[in-house]
Amino acid sequence: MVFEKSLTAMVKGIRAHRGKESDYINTCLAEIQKEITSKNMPTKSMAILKLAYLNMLGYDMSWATFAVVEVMSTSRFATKRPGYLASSIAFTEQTDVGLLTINLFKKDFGSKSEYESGMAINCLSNICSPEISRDIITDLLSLLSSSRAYLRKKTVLCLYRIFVKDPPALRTCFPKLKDRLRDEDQGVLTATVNTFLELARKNARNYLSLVPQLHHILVNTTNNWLSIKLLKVFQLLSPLEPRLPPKLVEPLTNILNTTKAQSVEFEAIRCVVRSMPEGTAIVALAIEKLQAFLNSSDRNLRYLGLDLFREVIEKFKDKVPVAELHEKVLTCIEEPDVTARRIALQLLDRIVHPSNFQEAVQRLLDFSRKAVPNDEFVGTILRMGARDQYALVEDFAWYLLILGEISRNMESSYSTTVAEQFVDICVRVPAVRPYAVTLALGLLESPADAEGTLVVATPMVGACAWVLGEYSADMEKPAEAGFIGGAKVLLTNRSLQALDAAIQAQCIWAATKLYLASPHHAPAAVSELHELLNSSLPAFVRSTHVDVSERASMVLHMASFYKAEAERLKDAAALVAEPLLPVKPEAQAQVPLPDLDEPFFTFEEAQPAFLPVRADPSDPYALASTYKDDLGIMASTQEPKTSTPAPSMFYLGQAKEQATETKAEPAAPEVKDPLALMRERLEAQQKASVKYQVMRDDSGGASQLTGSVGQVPSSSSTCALPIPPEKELTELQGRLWTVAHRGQHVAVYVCIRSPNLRKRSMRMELRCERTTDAAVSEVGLRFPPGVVAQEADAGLLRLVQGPLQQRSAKVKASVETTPFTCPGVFGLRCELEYLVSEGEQSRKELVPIELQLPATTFLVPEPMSEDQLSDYISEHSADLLGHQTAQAVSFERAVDLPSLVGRCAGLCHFHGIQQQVAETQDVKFLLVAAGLPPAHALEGQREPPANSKVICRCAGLIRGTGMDLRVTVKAYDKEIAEEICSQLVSTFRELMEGRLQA
Amino acid sequence: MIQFILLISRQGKTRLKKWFVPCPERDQFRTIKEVSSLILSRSPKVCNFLEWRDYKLCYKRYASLFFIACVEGNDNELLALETVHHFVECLDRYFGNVCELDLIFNFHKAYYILDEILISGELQESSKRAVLHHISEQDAMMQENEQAKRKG
Repeated sequence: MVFEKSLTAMVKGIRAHRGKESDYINTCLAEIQKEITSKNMPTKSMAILKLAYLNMLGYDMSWATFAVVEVMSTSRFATKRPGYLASSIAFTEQTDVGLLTINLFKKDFGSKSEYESGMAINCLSNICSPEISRDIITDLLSLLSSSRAYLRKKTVLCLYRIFVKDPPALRTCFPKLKDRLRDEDQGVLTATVNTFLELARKNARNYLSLVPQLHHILVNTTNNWLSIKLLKVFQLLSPLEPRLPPKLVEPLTNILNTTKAQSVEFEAIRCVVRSMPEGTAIVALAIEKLQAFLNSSDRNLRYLGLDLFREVIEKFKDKVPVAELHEKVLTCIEEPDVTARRIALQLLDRIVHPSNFQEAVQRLLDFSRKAVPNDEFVGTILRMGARDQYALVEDFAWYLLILGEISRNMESSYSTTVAEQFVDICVRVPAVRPYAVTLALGLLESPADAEGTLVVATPMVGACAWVLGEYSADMEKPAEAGFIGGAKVLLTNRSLQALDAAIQAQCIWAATKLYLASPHHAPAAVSELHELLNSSLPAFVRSTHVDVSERASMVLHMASFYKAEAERLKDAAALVAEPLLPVKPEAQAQVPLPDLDEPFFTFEEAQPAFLPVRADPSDPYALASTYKDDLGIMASTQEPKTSTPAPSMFYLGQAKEQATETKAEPAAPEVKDPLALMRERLEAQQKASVKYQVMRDDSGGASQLTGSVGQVPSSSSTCALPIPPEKELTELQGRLWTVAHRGQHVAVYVCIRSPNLRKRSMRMELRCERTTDAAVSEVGLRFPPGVVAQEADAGLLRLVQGPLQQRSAKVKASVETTPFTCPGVFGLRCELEYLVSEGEQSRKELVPIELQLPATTFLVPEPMSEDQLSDYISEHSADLLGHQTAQAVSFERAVDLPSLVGRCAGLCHFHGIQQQVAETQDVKFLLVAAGLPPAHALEGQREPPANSKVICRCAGLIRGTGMDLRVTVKAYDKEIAEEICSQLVSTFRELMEGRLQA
Repeated sequence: MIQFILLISRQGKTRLKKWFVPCPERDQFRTIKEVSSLILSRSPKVCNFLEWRDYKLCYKRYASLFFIACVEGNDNELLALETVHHFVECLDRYFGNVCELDLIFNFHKAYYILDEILISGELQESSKRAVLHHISEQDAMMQENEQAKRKG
């Protein structure tokens, strides 16, 4: 054979042909193909060996499988051995020549040489298939009782592969396999335990019967390999057998205390953690040992320790002393190993506690600056911070500062989360807002390069802008500098126009909100803000983003409409007055779908009403002066609240000085990092320990939303009369104070608000005045039995506590409306109580007074169409509308009648319909209302008949500059009709000439 | 149990591959590529275990060779490293101060030794002396055969 080449020669050749190995190998392969056909077995065997080498380098050898079997079948060990090697490398159970090996295996099992049998077993474990297994199992089993441990050991391990391929074999082999647990050879014993371990992993329950024997082995062995495998088996078995864990306590304690092998110790700890119940002494011992792993200098042990600790925390939760662990874990987050670090971060997430949260975050943040891919640290900070609605955060100002620092990293993938948390915290924690506003302003204004590029991540720009706009009221006083600075940075920063459209729109709107809020909080800045809007917005109007352009032009128009007039701007501020509350993400789902059949305009909410001037019919406007006095009272009582800001720890003297200083010297060259400034402030503030109130509950949505749904103003229906919005009516009602009582010592004024139908209560406001020089104190009002006021204590509503000065403050009383069912004037008979002191003596006075409730107080608007109304009138004209009364009133000037009647209807709780009268200037209106839903009536109240309504017709006749109004009321009762009629007329008078003039 | 053992040089060359569970050749080469790129790119400062698919790779570097054992998720990682070390020590005693070149030229001997240490992914012999004894006896049998052949 000329080509024959030894393995060494071939390997040398391959190494010599560096760069063109494949050419050389191809020639070798060609040689091998020839050599394999040779009759000379050593040559053939060498060819197979060379082929096996090439196979390792990635060359196919499946074409030579038959030759491999041939070589395996040779009688000489020297040729047979490479054959077996090649077969274990190249054969799989799919190899079709595998079946040819069965007889070979049988023959070699019976060989005199244990090594030949051993090779056969080795090979069998690699290539056995169900068919081979079924044919060979008896022969293999006979080897189990071989006198040679070498073969018994191999057989036991090989059997597992057989069972995997041919599960029924397990049943026949089990008794013999079990006998091997008593084998005197340690190797065979270990191998048997090994096989049982693998079997138990498939189905542990079947091997519970082995527990006594295995336990015996565990107690007596000193072999580390064996111990580990046994511990593994027990981990699988103990969950299935409750009597097992107590039995294991002793051997496990022994192992933990004596073993020097860390692999055994680790396995024992793992066994304890997985199988022992919490609270036992052995668990404490295991955790103590585990701590040592975390301290180890070997990174492998630290990694395993951390990994197992994660399991410990999961299983035993609070029962683990985490305090010392915390420090340990914090060191481990700096582990250079990514896997260990990840586990440490997860662990930290679990064990962190409000008391150590700050420290943990600081460490994470410090380390994130050093590490290149730092996102996992930042992610952990944010995840821990946000957990359970910021349960871990105690100092929110500090946390906001951390968020600010994180947002400085422009590339972080968490910048959106940071921005979301920033806004979320501001919404939930009112006390932190002043700090947040200053921080937001600082972040936006922070010193940057000459270009003025923003140095915070884009989403954070939006968040800062929103916070500035929304909470401008919390701007540090004096607020002018903040308002102007904020608007400037929001509108004029050059890099702004490169940002996302949404962020730009946010900035524009935030600046607008500053402009709208400025009359309240920074009156001196109004005109400058107005100019700023006018000068910078055109640039945004030209933006290529439609929504930015749209938003900018809208604001530009608003600015040109309101100009710099503080008074008008104050009205406009109502646009953004409603505060935002945290809302659950799923709240939308709770809003019921609208009922499509429902009419658009329902009058579920009662319209406001007022108390008419009934005290003195000859001079109905005499009370106007009292009202003005009342305004004085209101001003004096409310002023202190608004003029002095609530004392807050955020307004620190030092910080204020800083602000004024920079204002005085704008050219100061040294620019401090705003975050550093904010940090100083935080430290100063931390001295005064802060308690934050957090709105952790999200509003559910449904209940809140229905409230606003009910307020849909009725304006677009063709025949319905426009009723002014509730807000306006409430304001009007507030002007209608009336004297309820003017006695020897005390006068009482009352203002009746409209009832709230849903709450079934009516608010009235009361104040008293001293009409004598004697000292009056402890004034109270006692409602008649059957009338319940929420604020009253045992029927007595306190108006004044202590001595009554000239006038008392306003006292609210919410009276339940259930006893009132009947329209018409109702005098609520109350009793006034007070103490009068003259000199040394003081005596108690009881004075009966009557609170006059206006005739329309307990009416409810009845939404009806004109047709329905005419049907009703024609049907019930005799019974329910039998009484009619009319009054006329004329005014010197003419007004827009629909709006006048609308306001009147709103105040008197009527539903209004405008009737078209062709070709004249005259207008007619129909007003309709019904009584409150029936309930148990109070004494002196007659329940109205069922389905009764009060209908009123108002006709307006314009004549020259003045106008006449004729009011006709139809009702089921003469007296009620008259009372309601005069109530309507006096309301018209108040609206035209009296206290309710526009 | 151990799924496979790989010996990979620092340059990424396979010096030994041994699967204990049946695995088609194509998948074997794909796995070798994936595993070796994972392991070779790891910094020496990190720990010797990494999770890979459902398994754990336990590896250790000896001179220029990475010895990689792939074990099941619930196996003891330290034990796997010990097994690898046991194998290395046997190689070292057999070749006498073993180096990569020994394994290149005598790859089949490395396999023979491994076959004495592991069978179907489990350790069968924890005594180095016993392993070497078995190997030397088999080597002697090869020699006898050679001599017999020459005589014959």
